[in-house]
Amino acid sequence: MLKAERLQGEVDLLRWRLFDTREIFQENTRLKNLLNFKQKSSRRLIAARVIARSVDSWSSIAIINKGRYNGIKPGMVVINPQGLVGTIMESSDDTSKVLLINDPNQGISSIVQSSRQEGLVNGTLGTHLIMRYLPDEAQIAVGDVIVTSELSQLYPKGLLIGRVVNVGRDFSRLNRYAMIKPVVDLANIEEVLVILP
Amino acid sequence: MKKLLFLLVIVVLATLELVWPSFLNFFSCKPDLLLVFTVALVFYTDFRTALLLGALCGLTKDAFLPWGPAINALCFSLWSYAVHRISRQISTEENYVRLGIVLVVSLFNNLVIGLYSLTSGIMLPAGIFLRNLILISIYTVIISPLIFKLTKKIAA
Repeated sequence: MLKAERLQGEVDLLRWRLFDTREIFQENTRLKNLLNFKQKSSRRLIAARVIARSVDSWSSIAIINKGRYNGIKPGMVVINPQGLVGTIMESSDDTSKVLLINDPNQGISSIVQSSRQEGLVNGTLGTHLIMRYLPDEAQIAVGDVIVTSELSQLYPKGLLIGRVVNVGRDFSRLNRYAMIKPVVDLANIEEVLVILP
Repeated sequence: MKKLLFLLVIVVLATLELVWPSFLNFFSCKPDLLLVFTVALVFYTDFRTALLLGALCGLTKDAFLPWGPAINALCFSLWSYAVHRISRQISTEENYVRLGIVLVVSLFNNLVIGLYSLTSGIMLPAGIFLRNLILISIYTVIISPLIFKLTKKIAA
C-alpha cells in the first residue's frame, strides 16, 4: 500500500515535470524564432515580454516588461516576427504600455501591397481591422496583403499588417472599406520586439 | 485593518483583470471585477468608505487605460452614490435584487464608456458596441456573487 502511494506520488511529480518541460520547450521555440528574426533584421530591436493586457474590453493594450531604462519611448513601433503589433503609448522606468493595432484609437496609414492602393487601417476591438477611405475604383480583393505605407511618419514602410477577408461599401455609399485579418494573433502575443529609431 | 484588506482586494482584482486569461474571455469580453466590488462595498460597508474605495477602484482602472481623464473614477463614484440612494428606497436584501442592480450599473457604466469612446472620434462598429455593452454586463453579473461573498466576509 505504501509503495503504491509512493509510486503514485512519483507519477504525479513526473506529470508536473512533463508539463513544465512542454511549456519550456514551447517558450524556447518562440524565443528562438524571435532571436532568429532579431539577428536577421536590419533594424535595432529590443525584445520584451507581455506581462499584462487591457483592464477592460473597451480598449486593446498590452503592458511589456521593458521601459525607459531600456531606451523605450512613446511612439516607438512594436512588432513580432509575424508582423505589426502596435505602438508604445506610455513608458515608465521598467514597463511600457503598447496600444495594439486592434484598438480603435489606432490609425495606420497603409497600402495594398499588390495594387499600391492607399487607405487608413483602424482597430475595431474585434478580431479584424478595418481599412477605410478606399475610393470606388480601388483595386482591392479578398486575400490581398496590407502593409504599412511610406506616408506614415510613425511606422516604417512595408511592415506586414494582415490580409483582406472582405470588401464592402460604406454606409454613406461614397467609399469602400475592407476588413483585414491581422497576421499577428493579438489575443495571445507573449513576446514582442520594439523597433529603436 | 478592514480598510487595508479592502485595499488589498482592489490590488488583487485589478491584477486579475490585467492578467485575465484569454480562454476565460467570452466573445472577447471580460467581466468588470472592480465595478462589482464598488457596488458590493455599498451593500456591506458605510457610505463614506464605499464612495472612497469606489473612486479608488475607478482610478486604478483609469491608470491602465489609454484615455486621459479619470472617467472611471468619476463613474464609479457616481454609481456608489446612486446604489446608496437606491438601497435606501428599496429593499436590497435579496440576492436577485443585488444582481439586478449590478446588471443595471454595469449596463450604464458600459454605455457611458462606449459613448465616451464614440464622442472622442473613435469609430466602433455597432455590433462590437452592442457586444461590449451587453456581454460585459452579463458576464459581470455572473461573476458578481463571488465578489459579494468575499466583500461580505471581509466586512463581517
